Amino acid sequence: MAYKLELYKIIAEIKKSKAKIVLLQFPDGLKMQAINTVKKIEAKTNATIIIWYGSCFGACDVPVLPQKIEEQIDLFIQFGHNNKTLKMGQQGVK
Amino acid sequence: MNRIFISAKSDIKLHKLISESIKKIKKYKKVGLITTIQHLHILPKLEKQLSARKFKVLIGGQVLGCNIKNAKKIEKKIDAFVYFGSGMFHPLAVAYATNKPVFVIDYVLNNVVQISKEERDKYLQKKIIGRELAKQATTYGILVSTKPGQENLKTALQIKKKLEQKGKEAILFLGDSIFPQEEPNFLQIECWINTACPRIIEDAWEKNIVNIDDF
Repeated sequence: MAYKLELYKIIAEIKKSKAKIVLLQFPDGLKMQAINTVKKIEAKTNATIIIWYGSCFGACDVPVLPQKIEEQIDLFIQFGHNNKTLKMGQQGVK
Repeated sequence: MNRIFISAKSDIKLHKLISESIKKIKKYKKVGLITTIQHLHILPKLEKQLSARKFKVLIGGQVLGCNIKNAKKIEKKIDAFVYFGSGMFHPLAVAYATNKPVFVIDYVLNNVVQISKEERDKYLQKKIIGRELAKQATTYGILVSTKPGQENLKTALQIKKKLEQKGKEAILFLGDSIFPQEEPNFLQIECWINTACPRIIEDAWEKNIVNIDDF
């Protein structure tokens, strides 16, 4: 069983935006692929990649960072969810 | 947002634990008093009581889990530390980083205990072994916390660079509370380098974990 992480998209985005530091967030089932994903992206770009060390319950749950850290991170990517189609939180059960 | 910190002073009265304390520390002539912010106002009272029993007493003052400089500054002038408060988290920090016996007057558990030499030695041995093992790893995970008082991203980036220059692999991790519960998701990591709260390494980690200074 494999999940398509579409790394080519991420690599293209990093190159296009010249992102220097990128934060990746994986839900529990994908966390075991996180380190290999970092290695692949770092090998193909000049960016430094960071893995979010914490929960990822859904698109509802993205890291809220202190300004000092947020301003150092150029790009954030969450795997395994989307935030475009369905309402979330208590809005979602209505 | 305006931030206010309340020190939450304890209203505890010095009581029967004093005589038990005196029994336990009687072979030490000079004692240094330390505590956490909630009990700082108790120390002068404790000093008075112990001085009356012929102890030479120095007040060190407040200690934090990660900062015991108020204990360090009196270490050479005393024979033993007396910590007044509850729990072992703070007095352990003093026991680990000084060479003097540490007695704990724990008014919640209602007892007076000395932190054993074995406990201190075990911790120090673990640190030494951890330091050696850390040199042998090839894949490191560098832990960074977003907590404003613990954040160290800059140092983490420098460590990653240095490790990579040595031909090692270094993966950066950013989180809020850094718990070992996340550890099983990242099995490739052979050694963690903790740039957040230095006491995190005392938690139940599977893999070796070291602080910046031990690396």
